Amino acid sequence: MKKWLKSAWFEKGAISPAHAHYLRKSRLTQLWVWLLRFGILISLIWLWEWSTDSGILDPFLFSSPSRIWQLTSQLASSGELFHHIWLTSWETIVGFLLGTATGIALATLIWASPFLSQVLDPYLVVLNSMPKVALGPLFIVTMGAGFGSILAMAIAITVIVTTLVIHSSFQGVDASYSILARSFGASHTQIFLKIIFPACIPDMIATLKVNVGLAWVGVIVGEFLVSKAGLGYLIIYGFQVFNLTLVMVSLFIVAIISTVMYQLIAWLEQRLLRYRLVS
Amino acid sequence: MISPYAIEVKQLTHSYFTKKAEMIAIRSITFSVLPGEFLVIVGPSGCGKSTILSLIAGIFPYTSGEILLFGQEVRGPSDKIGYMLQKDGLLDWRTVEGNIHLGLEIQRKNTSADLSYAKDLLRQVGLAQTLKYYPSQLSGGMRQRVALVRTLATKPEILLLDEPFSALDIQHKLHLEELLVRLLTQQKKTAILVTHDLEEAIALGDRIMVMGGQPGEIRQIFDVPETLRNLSPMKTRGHPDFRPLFEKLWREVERP
Ligand SMILES: Nc1ncnc2c1ncn2[C@@H]1O[C@H](COP(=O)(O)OP(=O)(O)OP(=O)(O)O)[C@@H](O)[C@H]1O
Ligand SMILES: [Mg+2]
Repeated sequence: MKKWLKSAWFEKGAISPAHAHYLRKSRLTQLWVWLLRFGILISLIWLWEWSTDSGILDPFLFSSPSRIWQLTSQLASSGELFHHIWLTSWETIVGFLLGTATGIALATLIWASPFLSQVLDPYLVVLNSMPKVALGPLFIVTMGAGFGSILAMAIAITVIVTTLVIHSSFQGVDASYSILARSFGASHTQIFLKIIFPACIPDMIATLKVNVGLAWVGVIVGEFLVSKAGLGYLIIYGFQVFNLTLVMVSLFIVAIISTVMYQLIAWLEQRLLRYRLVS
Repeated sequence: MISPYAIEVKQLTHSYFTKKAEMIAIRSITFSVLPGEFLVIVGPSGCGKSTILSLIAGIFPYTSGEILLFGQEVRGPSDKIGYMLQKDGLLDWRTVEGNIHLGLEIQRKNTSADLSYAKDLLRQVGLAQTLKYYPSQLSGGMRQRVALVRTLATKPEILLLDEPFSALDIQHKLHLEELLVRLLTQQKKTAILVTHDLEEAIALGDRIMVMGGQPGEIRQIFDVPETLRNLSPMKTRGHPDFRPLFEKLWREVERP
């Protein structure tokens, strides 16, 4: 054991005995973190399985890991599952990209015209406080019970808050930057492209992160209301026929895919904001 | 008629407006600067020094009076002017290289000759090795030198420098003063520099304008004697005429 601790992996890349000691310590901590993470996961799954097996929890209400696994592989092998996953992911991605892009475009528009910004301010405030899912029936009657309504829901839920956040981010850019650009004779457009927009990219990525979550809400609720397919539909269908294993399967898949999307944006953030990480 | 002056400021008054009040920053300022001349402005904090520079740079319109550059009225920013603000304003998402190119990009002057001129200036301020650094990796003094290079890169005829060397240690300050004086005399540029440092004012200036009060007004304009004017900034500080002028300036600045 002692020997193993001193093994190559723990001290790889060390440039001095003290550095080796430091590396060994921090890598050991890291190893414990991972071990405990998996430990917690596995004991939770085991506890769940055991309590539904032994009758403490009712498997009809709480399902169980083995049941969930069975149903997942069954749905996966028939290919049906991927159709639902694909549809919901697609709606979410399109919804949150369109919502964010439209929000940024609107923010740009009202930044360019402070007058317009003042005029529109109360409308934005009202639209922002409005619970967007309450607009569902309106979307359905205007766009039909399908893809259009679901997308509209995802966009509605993201666009206004994006507009407000990005607009205030535009306004928050240090005035001395703009004065500097002005002193070189920069036009309004140049100031926007060279100063304001790049200065706000960190905030835009932050809104992307928030919007992924919001778009999921929009899409799932949209599918509750109208859809004949998708993960939201599986949840509501499973609930209606009281197949709670199906509900659990869908929930797990939603959790996994939304995490993956969030991580993708976190990765994008690292790529784009390298200048913040130096030094 | 062609004006003999590079900069003429006549009866200049400026107020900042807020919803509640009008705040008169400077009142009835009149002075002029000859081409190739170096004017230094000193005065207590808040007397409107930065305001004067911003107005000459055409950043915002003045309330009343007149500003002429080579006989032409200032209506907005001009390519003739290089303005180095009190805050260095380096864009932290651009490398040093990107930052010194900013003015050239805006004025669409980014030919390879202009870009390599900017690089050469960076070498002259001793920062050639930082080309690919981000501003967050630089010290305060390095940032100010980069900002100076950015200002000089567009080859302005008139330089407006707002406390450009305030964050520098004495060694770098002297070095940069030398560089600035060399560049300005070589290229016969006109300059206005704002500083709190009276030694620096005497070392660099041909004339020194002392401001005071609120709203800001001109107290007095001192001529730096010929004997000091032609010396390099480092030697000026050791000359026998240096102390007497320093004390005269000191008394004027301190006067309530
Ligand atoms: N944007 C602004 N809005 C309102 N008031 C301002 C603004 N800028 C400056 N002032 C006021 O105008 C006066 C002159 O300001 P200015 O920045 O020109 O002073 P300064 O002489 O450069 O001071 P310092 O030496 O501290 O830089 C100050 O009283 C300041 O409060
Ligand atoms: Mg100032």
